[in-house]
Amino acid sequence: MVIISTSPEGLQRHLDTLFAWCQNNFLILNAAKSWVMIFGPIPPSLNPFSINSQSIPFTDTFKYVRVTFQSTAKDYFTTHYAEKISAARRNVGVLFCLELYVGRNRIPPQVTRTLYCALVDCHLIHAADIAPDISAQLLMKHSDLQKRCLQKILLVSKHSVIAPLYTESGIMPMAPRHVLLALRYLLYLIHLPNKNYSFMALQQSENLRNADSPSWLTDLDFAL
Amino acid sequence: MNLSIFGPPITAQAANAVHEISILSWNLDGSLAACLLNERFQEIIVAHHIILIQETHLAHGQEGFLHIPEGCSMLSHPRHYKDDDDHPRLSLNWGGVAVIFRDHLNISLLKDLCGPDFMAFSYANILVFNAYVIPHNTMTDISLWSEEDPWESLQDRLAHALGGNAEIIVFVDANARTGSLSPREGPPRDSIDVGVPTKRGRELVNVCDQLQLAILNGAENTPGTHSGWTSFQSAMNKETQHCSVIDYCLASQTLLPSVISFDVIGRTEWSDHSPLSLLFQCPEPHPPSLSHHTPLPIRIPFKFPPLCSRLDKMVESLVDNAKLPVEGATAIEQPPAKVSRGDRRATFMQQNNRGRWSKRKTKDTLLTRLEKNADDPADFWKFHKRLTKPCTHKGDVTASDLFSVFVPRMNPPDPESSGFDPAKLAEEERKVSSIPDVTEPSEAFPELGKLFTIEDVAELKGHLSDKARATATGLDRTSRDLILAANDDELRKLLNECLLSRDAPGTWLTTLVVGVPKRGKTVKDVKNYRTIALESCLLKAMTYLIHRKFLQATELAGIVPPSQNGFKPKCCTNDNPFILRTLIDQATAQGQTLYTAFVDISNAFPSTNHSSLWNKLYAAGLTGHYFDWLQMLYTRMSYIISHDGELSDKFRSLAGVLIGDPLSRLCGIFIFLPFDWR
Repeated sequence: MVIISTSPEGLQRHLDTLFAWCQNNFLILNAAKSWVMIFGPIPPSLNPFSINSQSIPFTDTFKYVRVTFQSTAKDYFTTHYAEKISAARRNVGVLFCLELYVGRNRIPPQVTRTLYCALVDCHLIHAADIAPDISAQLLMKHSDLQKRCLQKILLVSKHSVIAPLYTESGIMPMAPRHVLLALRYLLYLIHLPNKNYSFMALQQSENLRNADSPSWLTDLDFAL
Repeated sequence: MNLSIFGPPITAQAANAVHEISILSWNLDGSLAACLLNERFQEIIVAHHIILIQETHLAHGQEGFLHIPEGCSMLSHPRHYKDDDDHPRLSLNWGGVAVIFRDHLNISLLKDLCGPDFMAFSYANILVFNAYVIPHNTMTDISLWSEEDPWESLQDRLAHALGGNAEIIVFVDANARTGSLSPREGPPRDSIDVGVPTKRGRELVNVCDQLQLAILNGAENTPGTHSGWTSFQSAMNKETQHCSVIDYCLASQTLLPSVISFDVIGRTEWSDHSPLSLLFQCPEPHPPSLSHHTPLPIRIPFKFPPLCSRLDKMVESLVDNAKLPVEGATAIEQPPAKVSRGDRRATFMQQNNRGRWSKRKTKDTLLTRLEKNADDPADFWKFHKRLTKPCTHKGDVTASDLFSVFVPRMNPPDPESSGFDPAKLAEEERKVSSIPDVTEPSEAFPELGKLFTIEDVAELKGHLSDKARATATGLDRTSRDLILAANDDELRKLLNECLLSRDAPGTWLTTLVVGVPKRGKTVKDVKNYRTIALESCLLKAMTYLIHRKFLQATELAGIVPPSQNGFKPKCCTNDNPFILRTLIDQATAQGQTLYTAFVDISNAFPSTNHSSLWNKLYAAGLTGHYFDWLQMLYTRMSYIISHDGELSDKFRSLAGVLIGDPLSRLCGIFIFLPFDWR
């Protein structure tokens, strides 16, 4: 659960209200497992936030619905990219550990492709819909890993020609894949009812773009 | 394979004798993972205290994918390639060594003495080295995984280890032929290998000379059979010109009197290297036992009390009339064509398999099964999981341990320690007691006053058809397949009869609970176990339909706030992160600071207060048949814990939503309804 305010007093007030509500509904808030994150300029003096007089620790990264936000980086999805590339690499190991059982370079391409899509690709495209690529460097890491996996799946040299990797495996290159996922999400958002929070967020994002401020839509423009 | 060929077999006699330790050393040429799937190979493993493996071909962390026998642990020391961190290797490693040992052995890895392709550990004040030395004429680029020469590095660490006057045993695949050369102070040797000693072979003898180590292969006065070949490069032809002695056991001179037996086993079906088996007396004051066969507890089947109510009979009739597909009736597997021994032999020879037929056969079988299952996702993933996710060995927890943790977890916390207002609790209790047993559906939700229809049953079956086939059953053993095969009208009548009578078949009211350890946490601590409940599938079918009824009603009335979108169909997982990122963007654009608190509610679902839940549903007007039936279900449901064949006493859960029930997510959401939801 996330609670938001633009003032420290407001956030503390929300926390106090939530605590009282939980007490009335027989639920226990755990201050030790809760975190406070501050986006934007940090005020010179700041009292710690608390739940029932217990302090809530501060953090600069937090995983919210499996998406990691980082408050200290300009691009707050930087850590998310790093975590996902790391998870994808880990799963590459899981994928090819199958060779321990069946022998080196003996897994049929259709099997490795299935495993790649389920174990690696899902990390490489995770949250691509809400975090369009604005860093070529981060995108390159994803693309490189994808390219190497495809070469291994098709059992070709790592100096092979690139284009046939995608045509033979039927897997789309990373950059257009990310953009298409974001566009598909845009299509989903457009068709939501007006009162839906996500639709309201889209409207806000458009307002920001019209005001030349960074937003999801400006990120999507950049990626396109 | 007959275990008796593995040297003086570690039988019950050796297991019970004090101070006797057996070590098996084996170069498996990268087939460790496949071999461990074979029961006969596992028998060999568990018959020894310590097993040293050379050429594991494992990478860091891959030991977690191996099927290590229960009661054993493994320490792997793989090659570390320099660019591993930035560019993960997509192919299997080469080389690497590992040790598999009985859990209770006090073995500590000595990282300072480990190096490229060799590891050292201490056991009972003895240092044991397990080494593989790459052939001197290798074409591979050693600099990719080692900054120093592996052979020189091994000599250096051995000298360093002996500088501390420790007693050491070294098992090494040295890729070096020593013939019958022996160190000056060691026992004379008589080896079958009469070839000219290689340069590295002479270096090995010199090293033993300098470090006062004896070579046990072919050593006189050492008990056992150990002068034979250890490597068989052309095993099928039985040509001795391609056989050699390159795997050695070296030991401190002071340890020689402790050697009970040392054996070179000879050619096996698993590898083109012979295993080396050493049995010696150890100064360990508390010698380990080999009693690895823990008797499995006797599984006590759960017995329901006599089931004779009208609803029980309806279930019985439903099960009897269901036309379940007969297993194997449609797809009869053709037996694999028999391959004559000569053909098989020819195939292996073409592949230059050097007699490792058992290893190759295992790999071929696994590959065939993988290809065969590739067309069916469910079968494929089941097989893949079984292959790469070995069973987690259970800790020492018992059903009564789980009982002591699960029962408090599934019941209300102590009001004093939780800080709940006793007056408020009493008020909720008073309110819930004023709710009549039979409630009328409110005008706002006429759907909740209607019974299940044939369309509902069809919707249920459609939902089940999309689900995976591998579903666990509850105590009553009714399954998804049974529901799909059941007569629609009979099923509808059963569900409606339950609603009208506010009752349930006896088999639905006891749920099995099993403890599953949380990932990455120790299995020995009972607190690290999750509660997984196995409800009757028929009951889950009914609660699924009730879930749909409530969902339709609440959506129409807009009861659930838009922020609670976690359970709604046709919503996107990333909606909430998207909203958060837009809020951050907005605050940044306005130059404001955004203060966010990510708040954790302890055990939100398991600690749901039942009275509060009923009061909220009642106040919302979600009353009628379904409300009454749910209240009856929550009141009468009891649980029983099953662990390792043991069954606990029955217990009740007075807090929290039903575990593993389709309706529970929605019930949890009702609890989170804000003050002003109306």
